[in-house]
Amino acid sequence: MWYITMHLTSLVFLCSSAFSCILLSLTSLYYNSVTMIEWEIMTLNSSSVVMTLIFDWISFMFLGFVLFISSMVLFYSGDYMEGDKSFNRFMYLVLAFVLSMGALIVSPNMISILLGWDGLGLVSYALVIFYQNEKSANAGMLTVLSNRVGDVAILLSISLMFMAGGWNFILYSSYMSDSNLLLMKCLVVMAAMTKSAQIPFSAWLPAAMAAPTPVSALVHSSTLVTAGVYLLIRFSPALMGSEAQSVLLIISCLTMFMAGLGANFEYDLKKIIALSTLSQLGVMLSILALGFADLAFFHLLAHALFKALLFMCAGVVIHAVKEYQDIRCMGSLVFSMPLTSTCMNLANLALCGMPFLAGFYSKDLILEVAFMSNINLLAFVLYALATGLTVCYSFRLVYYSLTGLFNLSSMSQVNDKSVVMTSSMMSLSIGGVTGGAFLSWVIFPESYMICLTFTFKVLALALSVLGALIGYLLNIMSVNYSLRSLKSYSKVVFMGSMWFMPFLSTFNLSHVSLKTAGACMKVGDYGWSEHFGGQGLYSNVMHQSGYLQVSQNSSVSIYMKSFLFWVIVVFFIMI
Amino acid sequence: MLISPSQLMFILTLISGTILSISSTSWFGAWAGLELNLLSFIPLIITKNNQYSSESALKYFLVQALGSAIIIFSASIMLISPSFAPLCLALALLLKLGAAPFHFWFPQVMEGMNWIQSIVLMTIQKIAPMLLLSYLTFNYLVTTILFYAIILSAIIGAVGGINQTLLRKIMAFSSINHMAWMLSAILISENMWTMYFLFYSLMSSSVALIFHFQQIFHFSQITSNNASPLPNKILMLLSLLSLGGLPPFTGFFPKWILIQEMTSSYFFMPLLVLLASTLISLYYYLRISISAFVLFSPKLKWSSPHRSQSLFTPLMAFINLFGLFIPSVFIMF
Repeated sequence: MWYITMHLTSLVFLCSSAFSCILLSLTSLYYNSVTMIEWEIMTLNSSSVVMTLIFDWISFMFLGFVLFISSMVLFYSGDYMEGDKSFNRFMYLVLAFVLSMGALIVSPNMISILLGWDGLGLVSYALVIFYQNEKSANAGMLTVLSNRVGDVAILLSISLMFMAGGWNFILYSSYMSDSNLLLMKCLVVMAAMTKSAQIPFSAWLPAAMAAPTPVSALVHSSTLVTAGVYLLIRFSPALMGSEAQSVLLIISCLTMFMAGLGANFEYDLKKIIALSTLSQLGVMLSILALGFADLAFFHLLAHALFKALLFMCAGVVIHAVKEYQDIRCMGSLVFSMPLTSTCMNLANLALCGMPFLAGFYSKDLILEVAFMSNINLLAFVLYALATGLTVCYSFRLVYYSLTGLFNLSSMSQVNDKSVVMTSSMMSLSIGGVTGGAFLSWVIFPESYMICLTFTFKVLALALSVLGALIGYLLNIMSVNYSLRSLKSYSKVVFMGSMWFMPFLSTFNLSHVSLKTAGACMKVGDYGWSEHFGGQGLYSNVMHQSGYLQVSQNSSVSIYMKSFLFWVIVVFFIMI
Repeated sequence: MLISPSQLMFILTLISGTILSISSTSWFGAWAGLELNLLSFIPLIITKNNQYSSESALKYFLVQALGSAIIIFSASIMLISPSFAPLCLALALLLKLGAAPFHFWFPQVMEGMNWIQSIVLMTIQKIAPMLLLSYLTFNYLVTTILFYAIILSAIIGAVGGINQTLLRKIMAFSSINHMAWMLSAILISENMWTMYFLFYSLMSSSVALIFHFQQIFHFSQITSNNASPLPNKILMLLSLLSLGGLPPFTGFFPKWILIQEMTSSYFFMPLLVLLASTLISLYYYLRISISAFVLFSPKLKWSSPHRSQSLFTPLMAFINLFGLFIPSVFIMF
């Protein structure tokens, strides 16, 4: 009797479709072909509501990466979620997630993109609340409501794009001027900012870590958070020289810096990785705001590979150390789980931009192009700081979890024996090593011309080395042992809590409206509108009915006399 | 229900009195028809030899006799004072109807009757005065009086029924409320009145028949399981909703047409009052049926099973519930 679980079938199915997608992408890149399919649903005042599907090398490539990573993640969950009561529900949810991401990727139309866009929001909510506890419920609500802001922005931009006469933004985005469609551009940028968790909406990203780790691997690498970046990549011709572009540059640089800073103060393993994702999203959006959409796409794909790997390693570590997520409870993992540590180190170094790993090709290029382009001082400083901070928190993570002191509990079973998890990690490691080179050769047949002074050329390298030294050495020197951060407590709290954003976007946001609504209910529903509405009307009618009742209680002669009275009244009126 | 030969005769004279009065060309003929109608209804009321039926018969007789006297009086002064006589006639006819300023006798008379007699009082006895009123609408001042009667009947029919626990009184007030609608239908046209009256007769008599076959006269009897089992309760609820004029049921149809006609005739003010009062009357219909559904209903072992119903009830209930629905099905094909 063969018992085939869902993780095997999804591996086979998704992996084969991933490779065929990448093959198709290479074909369409070679022939330089774009296929667009439009299915007209209805026509309204000469603008047709159509379902648009686009198949060019970008969508095929992205689809291939999403399918490849999700096949690995689903295979990995076969072991990670083993024994879970609702394993099949989990698998179906993740598949639905991949499906909505696919729908988002292939439809460059404001209306039909909603299918994937809303689908991502809905399924991500279902996945964040997969573990049923209060923390997950709160995180899920924060996630879904933050994403809902973006959905509303998309809906509003649909109504504004009615002016353009169609909703296909591939065709129209080159012809949108600031003078008549600036608001619509701002709305699209805002939608992308919510999905990609840029600054006012960043709080949900670390909170969404309440989801199972495979989901985080999928969400943070290639699906949910990249949806916003992908939308803006498709939309980038409209952003060229627009007002929205400069706003996006500042916000994404700030996000990059904020997340890098926050990760250095965080002790939760998954949250550190989540913040690093946020930082990399900032990198993608900032280079996009500088006008290099192809570089953003390049970094998007390369980042997807090593970030999924990093999360998978984190999942293995969390399994091994009895579900602790605090990195202070780890340490010396390199002796017990060498394979996982290797993969994690690989992913970390790729994230830092270690030469010839996946991150190097994209990140180094991005930094050099950014330094070379016309950039203001603030953005430049934030870029430089964020680069150093990325290396800093990566090495801090390495110090705490992989090397250093053995901090695990006395009874622990740390190993990397699980073939299912390690094999999927190994497959992604191949991507993490070679992905950057492969992509840079395929996407950029002609290399970028970089022309920098020596100082700027080595700036990225110097910053990385400096960050590594600070991140590793300061922890070896045990500066934290004497609770030095208490001396500047307020600043540490500010920097470590994502600049108070989780508080601002949950309690403080809902407080005012809930309080007002409470007052309205007390004064209105329980008060005046009850008094003048239902209850008041009821008691009033009852009262009047009592009068009528009294008037009924008299003899027939009174009735007849009252009738005669009216006859006499009419008589006198008429005469 | 057995009908004695004398009752049969009185029913025949009652109907012929109505026909005589509405088809006569002179007010004298109308008066004679009304008298015939009145005098044959009195013995019909007194089917039981108890004080309730005789009391209501006496009250009915006194009030109707006064109305008839005023009618023959104003008919005779028609030539002397042509401006006053129609108004006086209208007032007398309103008294005979039981419309609002002169409605006091109506619930009290109905209180002493059984349901069959109430049906006659609510439907057949309204035909003659209303049609006679419709002959008077040429007069501008009569129309004004009718407007006042409409507004007052609507309000009193709605507000009066709220506090009642006796089902016959509730039906009486509901009848007063519907009378307001019928009077406004008279102001539109005679066809409109015929339409509304036929629908109203159907709805009110089907509700009254449901009550009749279970011999329910009080609120408390509805809640009891023995008096009305659940299917009957549901039937009663739906029939009452139809009587209240809720859209999917037949009762909505005449109101719908009448609302449309009244808005196109610019009768906004009376229409506003009518609609608001219908809401209140719908509330007391709902109160009857909701208490039947939600309150705990004891089932007593010693009581006799409820009486069998006639074939007539399901037919009426069917028309009552699907009257609006079935024609639209035919329209579709």
